[in-house]
Amino acid sequence: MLTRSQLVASVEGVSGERLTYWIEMGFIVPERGEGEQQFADIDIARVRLLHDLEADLDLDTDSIALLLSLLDQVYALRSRMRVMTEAIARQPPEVREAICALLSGRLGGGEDKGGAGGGEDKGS
Amino acid sequence: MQDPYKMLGVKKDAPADDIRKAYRKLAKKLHPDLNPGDKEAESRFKDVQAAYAIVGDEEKRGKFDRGEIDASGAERPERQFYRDYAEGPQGAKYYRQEGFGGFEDLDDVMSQIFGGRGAHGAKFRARGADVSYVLPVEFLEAARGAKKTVTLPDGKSLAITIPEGTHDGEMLRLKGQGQPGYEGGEQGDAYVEVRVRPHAFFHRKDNNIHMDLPVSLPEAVLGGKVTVPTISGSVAMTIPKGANTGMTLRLKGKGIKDSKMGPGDQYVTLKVTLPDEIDDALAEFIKGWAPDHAYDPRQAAGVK
Repeated sequence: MLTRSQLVASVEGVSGERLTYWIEMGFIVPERGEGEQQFADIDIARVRLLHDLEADLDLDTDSIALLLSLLDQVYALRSRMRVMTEAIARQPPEVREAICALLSGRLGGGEDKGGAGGGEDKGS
Repeated sequence: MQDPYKMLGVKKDAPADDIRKAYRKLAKKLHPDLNPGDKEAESRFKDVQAAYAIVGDEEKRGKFDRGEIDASGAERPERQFYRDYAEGPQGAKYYRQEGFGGFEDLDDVMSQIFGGRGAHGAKFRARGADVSYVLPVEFLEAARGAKKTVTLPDGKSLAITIPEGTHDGEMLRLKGQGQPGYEGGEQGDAYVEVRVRPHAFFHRKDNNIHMDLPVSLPEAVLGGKVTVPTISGSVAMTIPKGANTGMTLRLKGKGIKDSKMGPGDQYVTLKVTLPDEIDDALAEFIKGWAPDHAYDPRQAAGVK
């Protein structure tokens, strides 16, 4: 956890004023410590991301708000997806095979995780 | 380390503007946080950043062109990207969920898949999902601190302590108040976003409270004692003789309490208010008074 001033000192190029603005916009949500605002690792990484979006990618606030909204949805979905795939990975082989069989050919696009290799139809 | 010009896809004599444009284009494509599933993105982004750190900087570009530094001369220190945390336990507070039901469809699937599987021995334990709520609170509740009980859509009630001086938009974390875990896994957390409703006359700025206070003509001209509301009850305040609109008086220590920084103050800005009706006595007096006491407030305010 960092305090506000520690955070501003550790992320090059980000002013206290900018940080206040991002907090006001709801882009950054400080943790509540005793009294003073505290920032967790994820908040610090998010401040760096915001700085990249502004300084390197030259995006304006409206674009950043739109992008963050989509990004937060993507990460929420990925987190759920991870829980699901971890759950599947812990199933006995026959269950995993059955799931792979159901999924094969249905998932368009995304990364191919390879599955258990036994996912082809065994014929009935 | 590759040639930084090649890395950015620009000619050696490209103007600085083109280099910046090329960098922005690549950064948009490669930023790891915008490509959470692409493992390569991070190293490619770092290479592009390192290249830009040289040729995007006039001085370093000159040194590089003259051979005084090589392409590795601007390696950046290790950095943790947002995506490194976004899917971990800290990530939940930024997840977008519509109300409580954003994932209902998926939750159904999850409970179908994992509900009652324990009997077969294939134990899967997982931490319960974090949930987030929005909680509107009154200005004074947030300023002074309050205990609130919230009834959730599932009938459960949750006791929430709003700490003294809670800001609008602040997130409170209630450990273990989220969704139950699967198969004995840990409970998720609840995140409560506090929305502070505006007050009729108090405004908050940092830990200070600001308000406008109407004062009557006699109070303004002759001075006097008035009663002023503060977030912790009314206090008596002395209006000095000749108080004017815009004059700000400070009530020390009457702002938001803060254990670290000490309490804030209350600032009271006076607003001299004429009576609703100007009666003959007042009008006659001003008529008699004005000719010998001309003054130009617009000149003083620089309006002229």
